[in-house]
Amino acid sequence: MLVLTRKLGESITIGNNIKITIIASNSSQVKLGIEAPVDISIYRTEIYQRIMVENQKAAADKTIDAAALRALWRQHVRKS
Amino acid sequence: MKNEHLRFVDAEIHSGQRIAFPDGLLGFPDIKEYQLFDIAPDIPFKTLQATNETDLAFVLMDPFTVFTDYHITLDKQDVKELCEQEAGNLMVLVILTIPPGSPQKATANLQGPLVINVSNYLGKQLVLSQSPYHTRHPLHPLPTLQRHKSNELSTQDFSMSVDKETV
Repeated sequence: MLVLTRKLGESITIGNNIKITIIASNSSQVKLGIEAPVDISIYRTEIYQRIMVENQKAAADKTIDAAALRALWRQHVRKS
Repeated sequence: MKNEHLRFVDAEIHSGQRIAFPDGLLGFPDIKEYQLFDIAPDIPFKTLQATNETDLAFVLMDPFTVFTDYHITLDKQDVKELCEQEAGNLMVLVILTIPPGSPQKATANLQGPLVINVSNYLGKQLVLSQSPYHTRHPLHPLPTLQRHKSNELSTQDFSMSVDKETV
């Protein structure tokens, strides 16, 4: 990992069209300003990771059991 | 592109329809084409099966049948990716995680919904960051079905907002 030290108001440029500026910081938080083309998706990493992990978990059970799904659905309808 | 060209529909997609996900799903970036199958006519679940990877499949459902207040926001870029060439009738599906052997513990991922343009069959998995939802909402017991019943809501009573300034 490349590690750079930046001061408040300074920035880094990634490639030709992504710029990340340090807007504010205190002891536990840093506020970043990100300028990037609209087709570059920017995510909070923990949310991205959470969805990725959940996708992998959801894909893990390869056998799709229609009877179990039907039971699941009927159980709900009955409970209502 | 104008707002009125973008709406959610309670659409039926032909079972077996191929759906392109140009970005893949999170964690599966290289798999870009799936087929959407109905599982059975009497249950609101579908499977999303990777066209070229027989081992990869997801169970999906229409979130609004269970989570009647479900609400997502599409940003300008989402709309552009899904509707570049065609005005969009959009469908939302969410992925279920079903623990093996314990289907009653199934959860729905409301934070990473799949949005499909049913006009051109382009799909995208959204990452909702400014939303009250997370990735593991229990289906059991149904949190909002009581309200669903009492208010006679249908699956068409869902809502969507689009960033008006950017569309």
